[in-house]
Amino acid sequence: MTTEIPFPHVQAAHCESGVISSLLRHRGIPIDEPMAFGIGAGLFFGHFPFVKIDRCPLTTFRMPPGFIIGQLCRALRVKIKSERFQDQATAMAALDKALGEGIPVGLQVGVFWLPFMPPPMRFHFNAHNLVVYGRNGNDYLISDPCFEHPVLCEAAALAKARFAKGPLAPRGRMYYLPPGAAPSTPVGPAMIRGARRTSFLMIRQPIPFVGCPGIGFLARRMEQWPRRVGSMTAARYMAQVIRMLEEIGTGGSGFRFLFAAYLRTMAGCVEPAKELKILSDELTDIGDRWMEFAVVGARICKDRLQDEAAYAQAAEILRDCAVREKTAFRRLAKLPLKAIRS
Amino acid sequence: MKDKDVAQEQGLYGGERVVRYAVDETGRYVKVLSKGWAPANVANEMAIASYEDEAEKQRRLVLQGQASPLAFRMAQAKMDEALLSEYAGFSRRKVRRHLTPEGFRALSAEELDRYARALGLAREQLMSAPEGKTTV
Repeated sequence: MTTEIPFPHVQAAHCESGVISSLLRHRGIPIDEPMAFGIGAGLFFGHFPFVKIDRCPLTTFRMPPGFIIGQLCRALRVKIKSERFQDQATAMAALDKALGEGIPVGLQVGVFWLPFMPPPMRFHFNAHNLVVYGRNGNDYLISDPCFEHPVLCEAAALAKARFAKGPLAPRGRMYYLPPGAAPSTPVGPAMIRGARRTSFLMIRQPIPFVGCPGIGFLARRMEQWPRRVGSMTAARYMAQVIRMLEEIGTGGSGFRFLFAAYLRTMAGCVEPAKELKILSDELTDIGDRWMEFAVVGARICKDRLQDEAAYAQAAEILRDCAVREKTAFRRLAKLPLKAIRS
Repeated sequence: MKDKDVAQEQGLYGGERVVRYAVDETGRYVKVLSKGWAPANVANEMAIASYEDEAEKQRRLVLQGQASPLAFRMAQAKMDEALLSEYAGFSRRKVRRHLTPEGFRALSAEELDRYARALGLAREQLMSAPEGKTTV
């Protein structure tokens, strides 16, 4: 079987916002990655010492997988169809059927089984997203937003990746926009909604692990790491925070730059534009501060620094980020945002 | 972050580059492709090293007769007991038992195949002693 749906591959920073913006653009809805991320209210912070991933406490800079797609489609009033399956054969048959009808399909997959991933990057992470836009014999044509170019993936490997096991198991999850007229929801109000929701998630938090207070919480825990778990484990914990911040497709500084880009775009169709631009610049500065943190943290990892002063220095930068993000999101929450009719 | 300041320090993705968002001279955000950034590379190398250390530790134990080849292959696949148990469909208690040389010897051909499939290996690979150098 050979099918190829014309599908422009666009590289993105983050898989979920990349995939959904590509699928929407394919249907004629002009949404770029920062817009998908911002309207989907993906920005977040959370530090959960009692949840361990790879023997490290969980730190996250975004909302859980699937959140962005759900929020974005609701805000734009776009219907998205999502299915899960019991077994590989049914799941692959459903994929082929959709492709046969000319529909590009989004898949949730585990990265460990994807042959086109560079081997060092193959971890047991199960919430990766990609688009399948065709099939050539035994190979599927794949637009993986994290890659520069489209890639090929053999059917058996793709089936295995769709049924990866462990936390966040995809269970064959596939999603697509069913054919039909695309709704022409104005983008301005949706963007305002995304900004409001993000501010709310960052500042109105009743528990101390999440939002801006969560960043201060991480700072406090971090200072105690060398004493509590020893310098080796503390260095591993630090490395994990840096990886979540920089590595797992964040576009830099734990999605802060992506959100700054969103505010900048928003200034084009929402008033008060001047204020939004100032806030965008502030988020950029905060992102730079997060990068300083990564530099200090990486030095701790590299030299296995024992002394608690180095951890305190890293924690001090975090506290600064916490205060500045709180101020920025409070200001954003209070702005009298109004969409301009275009 | 300015677009011209985006780091190009070779990371672990081979020839691939990743997208970073940065500000151009006019103050607009643009996508910039980056080969990698040193602090992120350090953190990545550490994560990979911790897997390699674990696999190396298991390799030694296998050669000393204190662990089964399954223990080494599990570490090489970056899995733990819980994950392997899910993939192979054995209870965790059974998996723990099969990680010992005695428990492993008692496995039937069919059971070995279940583990081999779970780890994406051929049965012979699973049963053979680990090679000299450990890469995960």
